[in-house]
Amino acid sequence: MNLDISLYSIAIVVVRDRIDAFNAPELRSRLDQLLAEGITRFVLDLSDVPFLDSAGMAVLVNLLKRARSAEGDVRLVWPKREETQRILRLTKFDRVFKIAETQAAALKGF
Amino acid sequence: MSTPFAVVLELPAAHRYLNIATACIAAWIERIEDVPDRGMVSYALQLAVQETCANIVDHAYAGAEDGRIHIELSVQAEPRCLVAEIYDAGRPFEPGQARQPDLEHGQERGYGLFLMNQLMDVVTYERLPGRNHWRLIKHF
Repeated sequence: MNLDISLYSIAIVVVRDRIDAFNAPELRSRLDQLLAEGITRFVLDLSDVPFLDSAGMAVLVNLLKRARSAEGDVRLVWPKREETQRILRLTKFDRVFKIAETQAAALKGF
Repeated sequence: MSTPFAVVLELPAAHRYLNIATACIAAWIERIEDVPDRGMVSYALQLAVQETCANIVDHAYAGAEDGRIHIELSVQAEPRCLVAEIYDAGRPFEPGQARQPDLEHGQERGYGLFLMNQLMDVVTYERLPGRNHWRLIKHF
């Protein structure tokens, strides 16, 4: 039997709260756990994130660098809120990250 | 000295309480008449104040547990603008230590002041006797 089996482990992380200086450490800690378990590919779904500050952005960049150094990657899903999208564009996160409209589209890239 | 219609807030200088300031700004701007692009203006001021206060917690007070942040919000006419005056009694801000973010590659630090300057029309800092004063202005 000629079989070709591939297993991929991709963490899909859906964030539904604001990501700010108060709760960014908790998000980082949860992502650190996943990295420690050997996961290197991530989809961070920001659809329902109502507010993102620079501490939250630092968590995203930190994850990206660590995932890429382990030959993985991080894809984002655009926040629904136009104001939050604007922040990602102002800081050129849309160039640093691959950002998709949906989870399914983000997963396709892997 | 705050104006008669100013909204004045005083918070413990801790990240845990900064969402109070942003919620208050959102509610305040809802009640101001004729603000074009209200959602964007509100979000911009919320984020700029959040970044200012987070810097105060992290750097001006740097771990001190008894710091306070005093915020005054007001609307001014001609040109119409929203003004946030933010005071703390921590260490002076040292502009030379603020780094510009590397926007092409992404980095973990430096976005705070960058966002404040991008989102506001005016950002000023002055050291007063024993305290710091930030003024953020957004025209509308």
